[in-house]
Amino acid sequence: MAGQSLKRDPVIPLTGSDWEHVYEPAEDTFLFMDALEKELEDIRAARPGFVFELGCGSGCITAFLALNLKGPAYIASDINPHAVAAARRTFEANELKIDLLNMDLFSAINLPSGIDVLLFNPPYVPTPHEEIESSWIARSWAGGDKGREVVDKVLEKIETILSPQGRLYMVALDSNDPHEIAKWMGTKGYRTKVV
Amino acid sequence: MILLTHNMLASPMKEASKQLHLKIECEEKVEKEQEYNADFLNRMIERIDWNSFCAAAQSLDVGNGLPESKEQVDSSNEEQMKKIHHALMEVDVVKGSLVCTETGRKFPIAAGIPNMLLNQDEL
Repeated sequence: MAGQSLKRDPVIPLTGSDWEHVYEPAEDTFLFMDALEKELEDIRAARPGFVFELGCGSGCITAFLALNLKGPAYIASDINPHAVAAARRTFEANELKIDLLNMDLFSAINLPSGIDVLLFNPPYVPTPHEEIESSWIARSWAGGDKGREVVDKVLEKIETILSPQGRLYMVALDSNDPHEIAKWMGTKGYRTKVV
Repeated sequence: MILLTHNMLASPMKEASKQLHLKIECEEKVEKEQEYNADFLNRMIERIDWNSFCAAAQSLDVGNGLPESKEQVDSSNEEQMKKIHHALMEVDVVKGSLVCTETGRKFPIAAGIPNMLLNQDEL
């Protein structure tokens, strides 16, 4: 039926106390899913092999994409041990076989051919630097100066992470200066757009 | 952790070269059937490090019948392709360790999830 959404939303089997240490899906999560839904046919057409989510939290985003786009291998990671444990439950509840890694950014990744689709809802809230590592839950949102400290660490070496035709989907706030991010990505030869 | 995921990991230790794959010490594995997709498998074979995959498969006792090199992969041989599919996609290490062969540091795998975090004194 033309125009009608066929998307499936993931089951999130997490409750009350789970959200003490794991980011609960919120407006940014839902906006990210909406954006990915808009991009779905485009992503499908690119026939990605590896889809990787950095900072998966509850696993909601990867579960959403995996339910709606079969084919690629999905891998999700988070530095927060509570988050990977929560994401494991989310994937099981949605009958998805997705590997998880408890890892700091890409510190243990060695994939010369690169990631085809990188999903990243980063800690983007501008905060004092010290707040970034103040707790597991703070790590999910505290972004340091301009909310860019963790984002910039990833973007600095993005060309070593993505495959030649690879793409990054990332959430950003106006206070993160997305135009500057786009300019920076442009100097690395990437095209950017706002979804 | 399946071997496809293992194939994209290297030791995060600062002394390590980042080129070598981690050795698997498996305490518990589960074999789960996954949908076989020949097109996907062919594309993955192109992208993985074959020697590392074979060594890892041997360590999990699922290496028998795997071609010794990528060049010997015959995508028209379905029996061989299903063996590759099984070793790469269907064997899940749920408990054990990943060992950095350069430093001896072990990274534990629990509930199928490798913990690749370094301690403060290793950063």
